[in-house]
Amino acid sequence: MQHGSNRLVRLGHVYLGIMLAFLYVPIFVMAAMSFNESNLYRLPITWSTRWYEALLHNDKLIDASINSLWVAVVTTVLATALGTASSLAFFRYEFRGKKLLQLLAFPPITIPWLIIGTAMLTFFFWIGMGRGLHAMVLGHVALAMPYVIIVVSARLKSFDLTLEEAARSLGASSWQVTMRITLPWIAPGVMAAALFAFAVSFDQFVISYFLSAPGVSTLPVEIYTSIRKGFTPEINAISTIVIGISMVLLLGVSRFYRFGGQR
Amino acid sequence: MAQVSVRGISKYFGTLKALDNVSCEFEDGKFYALLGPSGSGKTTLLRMIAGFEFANAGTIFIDGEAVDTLPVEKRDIGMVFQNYALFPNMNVFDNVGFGLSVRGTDKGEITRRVGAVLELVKLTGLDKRRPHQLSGGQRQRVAVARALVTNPRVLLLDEPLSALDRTLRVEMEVELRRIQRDVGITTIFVTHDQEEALTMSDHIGILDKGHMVQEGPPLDVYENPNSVFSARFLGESNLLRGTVRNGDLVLGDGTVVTCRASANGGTGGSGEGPGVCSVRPEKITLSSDPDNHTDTDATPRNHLRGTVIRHIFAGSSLTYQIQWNGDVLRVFMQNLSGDILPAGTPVSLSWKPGDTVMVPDA
Repeated sequence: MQHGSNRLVRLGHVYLGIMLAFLYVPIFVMAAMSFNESNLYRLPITWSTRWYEALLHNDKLIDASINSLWVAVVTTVLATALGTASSLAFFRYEFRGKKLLQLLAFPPITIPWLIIGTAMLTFFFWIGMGRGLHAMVLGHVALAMPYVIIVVSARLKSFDLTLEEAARSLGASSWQVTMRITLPWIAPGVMAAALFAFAVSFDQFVISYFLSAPGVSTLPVEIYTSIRKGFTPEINAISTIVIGISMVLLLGVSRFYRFGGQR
Repeated sequence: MAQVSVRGISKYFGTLKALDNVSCEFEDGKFYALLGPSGSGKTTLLRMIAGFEFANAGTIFIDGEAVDTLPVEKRDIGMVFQNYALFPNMNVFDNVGFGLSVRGTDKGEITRRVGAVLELVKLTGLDKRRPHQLSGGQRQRVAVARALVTNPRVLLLDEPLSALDRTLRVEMEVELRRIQRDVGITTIFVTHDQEEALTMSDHIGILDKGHMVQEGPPLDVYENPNSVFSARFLGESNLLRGTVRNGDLVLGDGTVVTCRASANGGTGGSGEGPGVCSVRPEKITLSSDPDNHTDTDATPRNHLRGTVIRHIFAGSSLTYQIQWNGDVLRVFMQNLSGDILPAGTPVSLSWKPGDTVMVPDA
């Protein structure tokens, strides 16, 4: 029995190793190649920052990065504000159709992005809004809100509604109750939700691809376009930078929000 | 300080009738207890006075002003919650000062008034503590200070002592009453604990299933229960059942028990038919001579013969369970002799007719 369980544990370790390798070896190779002098992946690696220097002159990638940041920041602000407000409403009030509304908030997570993207493109053209960064922001907010609602609602579960009643009995208006009692308590959840929203927008390819107007694209879309035209290690460089930013964001999220458990 | 009137209040939660046409008056500066089992509607009534729930029928007045459409934050009340509901992200000073701060009171004034109210509840020097750094009793005091700092018209207490252990509870009963007297504020206190209601309040209202069963000063309600429910819920009662004849109760074994009607509208005794008497356990005298029928009082006492089943010894007092005619009667005695009557001892029970209250059988 003891012997068997030891073998199981060893098997588990091997499995974990394979999993991590699958996830991180490609990323590691890409990062390494971004610092390689050769553009043909020639080994051994000769240290160079030429691809990063080249990035500085690649206006298309720089513009796309700025667009991405702009869309992500606006999305973060809107999705976090709207999502937090929805979570508060779901938490505080009982109203007709609440269950239905809660259910309706989540399909964007489960419906394939390709389908949502197509639907949005069709719809935006139909109402005459067309493509562009404004359309992207709308699409991204719709995508990010469910994540915000999930994260903020999880934090609200630990909030005691009597605190709001106590504040009201002391003469606080709804606005004062929210700003001085409720928000300070759920702030870590709201921060984590904001980082989630940022990541959802910044990483988004499919919807952005559908909704980008010619000549105006975001970083993921631009990377995809560049790869189709012909691969240069510049892409490795920009991708490495993006991964660096994502890692920092992830650390930020885990700082504010413990996954699947209580803080 | 204010007077609160509740007139004809009814409240439904779906098909559940939480309160059914309840009326009562809370006089200025008095301490009221709303007493009842869980589900009796006492907390609902308190929350309606606070403004957290709204009535389906009836009106609530504070100082003559109908407050039915006034939201909680405009009612100028102070409330202490069962779990205290202290703001965890604020220290004691900010918790207590919250009510002033949301009213835009200036800093100096807040400091002065928070200091004064912390002194009132004897928490001076703890301003910088966080709620989780306080003991249960200290949290309770912070909650009371926070509710009082704005000089509200009414203080509402929702089972504030239920989270404390027994020693602390007794201490806080006295403290709450002292603070209430010092401030002179009209106070409404919800509890399911009859002892708290008796020891603390000027006036008790007993609620059952959404009805106000009986109200009055503690002694009056205790001595003159107007119903079986009231007799059993406030204090303990021995209930004797029998047939009413000429205002007296004839028990199953033929014994005649002389009764009086309750001063609070007890209807028993007027007609014939089945009836119930309530006798408080401490009013009964036990004698180990089962034939002790000598009456020293001017009016003859009521007598029953029984057998000791068991006793419960509590140091200064004793509770006996007495077997009588298939029923179990309880008798409280002070431990004067230092003797205990063993189980099986035949005893004689006697008490004054004036301590025998006929109550409507409900």
